[in-house]
Amino acid sequence: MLIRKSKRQFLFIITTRDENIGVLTREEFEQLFDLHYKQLRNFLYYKTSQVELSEDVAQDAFVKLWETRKKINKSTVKAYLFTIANNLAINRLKNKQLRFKFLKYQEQRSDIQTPQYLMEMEEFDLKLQAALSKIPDGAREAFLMNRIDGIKYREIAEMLNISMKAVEKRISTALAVLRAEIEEKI
Amino acid sequence: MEENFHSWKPPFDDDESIARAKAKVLSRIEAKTRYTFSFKKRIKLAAAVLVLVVMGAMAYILNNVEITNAHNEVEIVVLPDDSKVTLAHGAVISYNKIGWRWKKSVTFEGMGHFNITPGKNFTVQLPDAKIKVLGTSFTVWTNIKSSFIHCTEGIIKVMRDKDEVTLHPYEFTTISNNRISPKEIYSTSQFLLPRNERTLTYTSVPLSIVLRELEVQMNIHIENHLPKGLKYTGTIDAYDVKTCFEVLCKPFGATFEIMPNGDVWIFPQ
Repeated sequence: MLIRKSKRQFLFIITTRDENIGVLTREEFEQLFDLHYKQLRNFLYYKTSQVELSEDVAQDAFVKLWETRKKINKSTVKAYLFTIANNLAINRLKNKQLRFKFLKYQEQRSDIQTPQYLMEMEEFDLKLQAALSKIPDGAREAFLMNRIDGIKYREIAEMLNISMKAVEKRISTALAVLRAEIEEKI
Repeated sequence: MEENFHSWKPPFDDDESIARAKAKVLSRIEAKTRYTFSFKKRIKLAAAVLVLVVMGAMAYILNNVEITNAHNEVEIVVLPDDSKVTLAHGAVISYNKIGWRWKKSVTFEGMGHFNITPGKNFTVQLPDAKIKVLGTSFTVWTNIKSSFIHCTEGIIKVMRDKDEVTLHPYEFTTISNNRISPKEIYSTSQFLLPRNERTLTYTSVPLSIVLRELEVQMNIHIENHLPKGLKYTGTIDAYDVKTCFEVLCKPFGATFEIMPNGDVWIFPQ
């Protein structure tokens, strides 16, 4: 009886102990920053459409992460970081209108750089950017993370702590809204 | 439409803004780390120091040893370094067992004879002076008002504030009115102990020693203004103060005065 009891206790200990939970060192923190800052800041921009706010909130999120460094689950730290950032952004975003303004990469194909084409593209870009604000929160971020940053559905699901199905649904919602908006404008 | 998205990038000056952001975040966490370190660690450190101080003080206090000879005969006390102290009736010696490891020091009051084992500096703290010794024997009579120290072997140094005198074998000194008297000589290697007798006989004994014995016998304080180096030979009845000092002063042609508080002052005529 005694042996069985002690075995049970041992099993209990090993099943409840998570090796990933521990203290985040300064080096690990810097590595996390280098790995995720850009994605996090972009995510915040997709959410808020404000450059300064995105940078501020991204930095605040990292500082908050440092504050809780003593009990961090390292396997889910990315999702945790995005959750912190999301909550901080929601608090700071109240009653602010979304106005996106994206930059364009310089590299263009030479055969299509006619002034007419460029003008049309620019006009379309503006319409598209304006249409982004109509996409519901959550769907917009997921859509832009995928389309602009090229983040895979699985990774988005991990970052936002949602399922792959939810990511798919959000992105299809975003596409549907965009199509409707653009068609209406055209 | 899909192509448009692929050609977009968020409006950030990437490399520079990331480097700036990293510097900002690191400086912020640095400040936070410093703050939490200093606050939490200081509290912990203060608590630990406090506990250690209290425990140390308690251990020190619990290791204080005080020995009083309440018997009428002399009693021999052996100190941790095997030094021996012979205590007269009523003498009190105290030391700390822990402190002894670093500093051989005792506090002493009453009458006693010290026989110190050679070794590190040994210190005897008297109410009005300090004695430093290095393997030697000496006699001490002390009370709150005065002290008498007689060296019987080796060398001892008697110190009071900035005043000090070094005694060689058979030399003695007295401390009274906060000053150390010039040293005198009395050739004996015995433990000088005041006699508990009414009639006291002296043969060429330094007057300072006679007066010290009378002080103890009659429980008075004597202020001697006669020159040092005088020796007394004769017999004194230590029962009545007036008669006693009349007999004592006669050979020196001295006078004396009994003060209202019982002290006796002796003057040259």
